[in-house]
Amino acid sequence: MKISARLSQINWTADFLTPLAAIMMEAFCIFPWLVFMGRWPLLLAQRNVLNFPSVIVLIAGAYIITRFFLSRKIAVPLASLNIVFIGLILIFAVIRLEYSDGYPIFGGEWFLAYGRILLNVFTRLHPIAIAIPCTFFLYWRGISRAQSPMYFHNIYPVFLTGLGSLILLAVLWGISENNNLRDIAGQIGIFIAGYFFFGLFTLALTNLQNIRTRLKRKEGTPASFNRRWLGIVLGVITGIVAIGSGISSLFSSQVSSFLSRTIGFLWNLVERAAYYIFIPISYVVGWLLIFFQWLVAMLRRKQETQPAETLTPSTPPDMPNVITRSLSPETILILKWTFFTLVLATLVLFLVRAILRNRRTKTDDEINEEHESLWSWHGFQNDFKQWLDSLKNRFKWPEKPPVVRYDWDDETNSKLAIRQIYERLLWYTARLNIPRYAQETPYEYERRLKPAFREQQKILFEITQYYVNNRYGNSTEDEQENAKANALWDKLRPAFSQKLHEQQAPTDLNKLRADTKRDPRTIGTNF
Amino acid sequence: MLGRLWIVITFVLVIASLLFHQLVLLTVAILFFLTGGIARLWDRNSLKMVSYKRKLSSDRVFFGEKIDLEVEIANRKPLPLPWIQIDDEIPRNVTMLKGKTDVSHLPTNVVLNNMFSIGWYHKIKRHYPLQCSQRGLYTFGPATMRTGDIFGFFVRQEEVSELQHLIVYPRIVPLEYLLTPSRQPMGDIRIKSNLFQDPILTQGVREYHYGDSLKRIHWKSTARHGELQTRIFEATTTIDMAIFLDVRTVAAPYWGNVPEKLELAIITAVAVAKYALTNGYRVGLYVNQYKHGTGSIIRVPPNRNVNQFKLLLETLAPIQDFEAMPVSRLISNESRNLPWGSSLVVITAAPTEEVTSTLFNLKRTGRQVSMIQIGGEEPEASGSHIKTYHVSDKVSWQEIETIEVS
Repeated sequence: MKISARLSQINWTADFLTPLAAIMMEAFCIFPWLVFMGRWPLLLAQRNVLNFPSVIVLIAGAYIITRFFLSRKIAVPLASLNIVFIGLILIFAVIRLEYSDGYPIFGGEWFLAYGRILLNVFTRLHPIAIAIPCTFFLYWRGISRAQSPMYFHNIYPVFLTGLGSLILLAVLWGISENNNLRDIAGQIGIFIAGYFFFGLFTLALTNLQNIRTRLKRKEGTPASFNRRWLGIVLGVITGIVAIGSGISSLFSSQVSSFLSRTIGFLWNLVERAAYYIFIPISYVVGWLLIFFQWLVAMLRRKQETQPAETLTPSTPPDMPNVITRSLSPETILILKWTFFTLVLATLVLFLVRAILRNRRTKTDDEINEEHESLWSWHGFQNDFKQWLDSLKNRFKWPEKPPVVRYDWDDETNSKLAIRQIYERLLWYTARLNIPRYAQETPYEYERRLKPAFREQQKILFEITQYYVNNRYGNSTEDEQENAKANALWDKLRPAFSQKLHEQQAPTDLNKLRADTKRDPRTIGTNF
Repeated sequence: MLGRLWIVITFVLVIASLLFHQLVLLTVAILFFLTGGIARLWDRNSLKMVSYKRKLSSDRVFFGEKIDLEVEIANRKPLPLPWIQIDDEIPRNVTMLKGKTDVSHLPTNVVLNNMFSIGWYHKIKRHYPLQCSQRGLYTFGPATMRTGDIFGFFVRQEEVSELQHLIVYPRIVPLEYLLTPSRQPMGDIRIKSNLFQDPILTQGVREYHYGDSLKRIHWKSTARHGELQTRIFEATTTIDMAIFLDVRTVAAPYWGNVPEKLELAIITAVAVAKYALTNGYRVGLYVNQYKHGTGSIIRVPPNRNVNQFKLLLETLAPIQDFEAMPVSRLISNESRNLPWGSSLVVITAAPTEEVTSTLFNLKRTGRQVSMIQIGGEEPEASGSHIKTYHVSDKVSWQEIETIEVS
């Protein structure tokens, strides 16, 4: 009960999945460098400085050890001492296993041999000389990962730095003259793919953690959320990596062969895992079968031996003639199966009840949630068509909006609304190169017009006033006001018209007049 | 993700891969481009075709009732949303029985945090039970939708301004007995004796007496009996009651409020109104406070309509503790428009000299006036001849079973 309660309290995403992804990201970033360094021509032996499992063990080990000691209530110097001490042991173990070279594990020959190698390191460079500082670096990476919280803003720079280092490595690899390096250049692709996969996964996980922290409900998100989120994230990241690797493999036979080799290797791993899982299960099933066979045999044997035990030939029993009936083998078989079924049913019942109780308590705490699919083939088709259209429009050359011109100068005298009068006023002033700016109020504009129309100042002011009252005031236009405004406009318009004719060449005006003509009644309703 | 540098970096990587004949760099460029592109695709389209709705199982509830708040989010596009966070403003006084809330920038609200992960063409509904344990007019919303790409490079947000309103009626408790009624010349309530009789309601017939009007003669009975019979009409009246509620709970000139007293005053007003309406009164309500969102005083003219009680409850539900004018002035203003003979009941937790003198003046003009004092010391029998009742505030308004006026 305590164990299950503790297990339920664990935040698997934050405490397990995110660190694991971050560790894998670090490992995929560092390992190609170790491969690269192991192929240097200066080295005595051409081999990987450290193998991939060792890299993971060192970073993960450092992470676990640091987290463990930091979570204990002990003094920081003591915790540091413990971390360093255990770290040294771990580093030694890794080096010892990586560079065992057939020496017995508990023998002293290895120390002698590698002591000698290390003493001559400046004359004959051995990969172990690079491996030792690398193990310390990896251990330090693990410690720093454990010390800093897994927030997005912490992980993102690490991701970018790692990406930069991989690009640098690829460039170095590319410019290298060494044939050894050129041969294995295709290998780095899988690490880049792995780095992207785990890097993006870590970023997504830290993003989720950020949101959860903001929401302050680490335990409160429904299980459906986690399932769906994980599904989408894994699907998208796998898609990115698969498409990226697929496209690049189109250009390289080396990469594609390496990818197929990797997929084969992964398939072998799955097969082996299945083998290790199913073999014990098959043994358990076999033992159970043997046990039941033995049980059945025991029961049968008892039935067969029963009459022989009770009767002896010397002392015949003085008993009434009672007809004893032994149970038939079919009945015994039925009874046995009934017993077995009852035991099984009881077990299943208890199990189901426990599961149901667990579920009920969960649903009592959780919020009722209903899911509904809105998917329809028709809707999807429409959306897809719309998306294609939007893509098409994106690459379309933008058309110039048609310029619509009106020639109010041609307009015959007719009764206009106040807004229409003002519209025509703006039309004339715009053509007289005194257009109204968008930020100008009518009164400000009227003040700006004054110097140009000194004689019509009063009329301009009155028309502006009528317009402002009509446009912004809470009043409707009455007949009297309208008549006054029209009278004012009839006085003002000839002045405007005259100025326009003075300014524009007659040919231009005719051209202007020839432009689109529309019914003036439909214009200016927005004013 | 690195802003506009994203495309530049991709381009540089492609060029570098061509220069160094490095497919690895091309792989990095493709992966980098895909990551940035997908993140941007999510950023631009994540909030398109996403709708958020909020629904209450009822928009008017009685005190203490439970209702269901349903929030619905729909994603009507092929792009799934790995996460979408919705912060919805919920009134603080409505207790959420499930779900977690956070503090809001508004003191009257809390924020309901919801996080969803929605697939393509998918809709999710969540139900939150709410307990309405405080009267009031509550507003649900607005909500903020926040989403982004899966990696956390971009975040986009949008406000859903749609609001829902909920009215929680005040507590309804019974009243012990009715106050002094007024009398109208005619109406709907039968009384034992009155000067005026209703010519529509015939009580019976009697023998004709000298001086009886010919209009009152019951001709059919006269024909049957062979002698003149006169109709007897029923004496009826209509009783109007105007309840004046004072929202001031602390005696002037001090400012402040005692929420317990205000709640008790409102509960008393509801109890008086219910009792009066059940007994055939026409009940009106006047509160010295402005109507929500308007500049006019809360005023419900006397009526006996079937919906009158509901209207009174709805009027009393959103009452706050700030007064628009002294209740004495409100009484003076509104009493002019009340029918002659109506009863005025003033419910106040802070009775003042002005109120007493206003009521006295009204009594002198022939009105029936009474005052209910909420809490404080029990009033002494004063010489002003204004009937004053007292409602004790010793029992909390949440636990009170009946309004006892003494």
